[in-house]
Amino acid sequence: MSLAIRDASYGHRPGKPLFTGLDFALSSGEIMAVLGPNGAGKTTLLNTITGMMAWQRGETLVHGKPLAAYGERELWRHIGYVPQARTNAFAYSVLDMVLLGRSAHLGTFARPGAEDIAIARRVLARLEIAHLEKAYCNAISGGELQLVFIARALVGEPSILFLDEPESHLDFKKQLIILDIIERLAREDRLICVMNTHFPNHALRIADQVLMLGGDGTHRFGPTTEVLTEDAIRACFGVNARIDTIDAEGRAMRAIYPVSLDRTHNHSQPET
Amino acid sequence: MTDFAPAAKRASPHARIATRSSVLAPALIVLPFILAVLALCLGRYVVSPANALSILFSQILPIEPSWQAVEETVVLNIRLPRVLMALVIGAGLAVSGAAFQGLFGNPLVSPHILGVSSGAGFGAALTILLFRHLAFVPAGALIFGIVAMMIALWISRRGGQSSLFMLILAGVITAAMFEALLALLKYVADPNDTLPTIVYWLMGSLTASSYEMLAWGVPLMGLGIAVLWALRWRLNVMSLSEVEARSLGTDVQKMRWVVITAATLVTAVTVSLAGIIGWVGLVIPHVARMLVGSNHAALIPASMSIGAIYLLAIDTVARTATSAEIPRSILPAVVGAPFFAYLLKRAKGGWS
Repeated sequence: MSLAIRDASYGHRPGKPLFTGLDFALSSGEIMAVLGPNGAGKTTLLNTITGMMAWQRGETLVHGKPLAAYGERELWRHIGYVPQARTNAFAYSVLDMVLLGRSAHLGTFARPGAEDIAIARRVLARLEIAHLEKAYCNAISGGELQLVFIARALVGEPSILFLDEPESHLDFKKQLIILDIIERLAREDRLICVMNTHFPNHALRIADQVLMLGGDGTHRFGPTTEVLTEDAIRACFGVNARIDTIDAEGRAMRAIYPVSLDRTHNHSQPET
Repeated sequence: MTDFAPAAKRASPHARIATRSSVLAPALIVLPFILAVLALCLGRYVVSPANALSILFSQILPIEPSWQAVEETVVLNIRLPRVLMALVIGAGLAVSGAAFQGLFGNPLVSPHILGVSSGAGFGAALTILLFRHLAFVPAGALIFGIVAMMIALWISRRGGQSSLFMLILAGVITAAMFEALLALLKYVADPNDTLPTIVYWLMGSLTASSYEMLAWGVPLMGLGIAVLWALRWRLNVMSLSEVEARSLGTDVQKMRWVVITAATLVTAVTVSLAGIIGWVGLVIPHVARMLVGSNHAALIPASMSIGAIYLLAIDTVARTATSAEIPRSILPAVVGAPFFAYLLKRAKGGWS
């Protein structure tokens, strides 16, 4: 079980690369956090890794095989994707929405059966939202909707899970709930989790590896504690930050405090 | 996580659907048939339901005629083709409407979105002008309806892909083009002869219904409906954003093409059989959604049934209420527009 990116590059416009020479590998149970300023291409990165957009150079290997070796439906049985939470024009019930996650396992004309419903109910129970089964997706809170999207990805029984800013727009507590779930999926279910986030503290909390995107073709990749440094934050975000260790409930927790804007920082980052 | 409030409080009132569906499903299957028998009885010459049923069954069972010959003629030759036509066209328009709405993830889309009806209208007018005979009109309408869809698809394609946004704009462009061409045809048409024929045809009517029209229309429409029926659960996936649909292992471009072709075929056949009948394809899926929820696995069958019921009811009223018949496209809009306004008000702009 592995996910590897080999010497991969991508840019929306010629001569303006977003990433060049990305080269890393993740194995079962690892969490990678992707950090970077707005417009650095975090969502684009997820799209290129999963093959929804083509790399301009390099390739993605899923379990050692290039994406091209998989059929479209076959690939998405290995990969789960949690989009940024957004509501749908139609009000599907939570169970109906989660069952859509079985679609890569079902034939084109098939509909989910009793077994699929059983899987969906198990996942809902695991995420502690079984009581929402009959609720409508446009009538639940943002945090609940995010859990529904995670459930939808999980019923596909993937071994690699991509999450696009899963904890954005959520309150303090719901953020922790989502982070705890991602951590459990990695530690207990041995899923590979790749997660875009705007919060360096969340990377410090759960990520084994960190990929920091500069938005100009540069990046840093490595174990969280080595890569996520005060210098790296300044270079990447233009923010002077302090990283400190606090003693909380008997364990040492590292935390990042943004202190001031770095006035010497070159503000050439593209905005989205 | 435990403090997420119990869902019961926030569950929409539609949560009752599960218990309601045990009554609803049989009702939606049986009602079109009951209504059809009723429609066979009604008209200038009233036939009793018992006689109407006996006449129907006498076609397949050896039943001694206990009815007058004129009743048999009225029921079998005049009313039955028209009743069947109303049922199929209502079902077809509603299903293609539901499919288009699902595909575009937008509840305000109608089957005419890709310029199909404008193309078909132009095709009909062209054949009336060229052949001065109504026999070729359905073929002309069907061909140009599909041509319009193909033009819209071609305009929307960029790098082998069609985005939904481009499709909608391409549909607007195609419709505008064919409407302009239609206006040109009307302008050159003979005001004493072909022009009225064109205008009346465009208003839509089921008066010309015949078994011949059913014989070629039903298989074509059946093909399209069968495809949409088979893909009804997949339509849920298609209604999500493109990235989400792809991440659920669906070949979005291919599936979109299949659904558009099937729904266009159904719409084009309805237009070629009975002219442009608005509202059914837009409003009926909403009514169905209120009854069975948004899941297309239930929505497609429900739309079919309600569409059939609706158009048959409207047609029967139009046929029996006044001595001079009301053109078919008028009543659905007169009834449909206020009803749609009522639904919008009730739903407060959000669909559930």
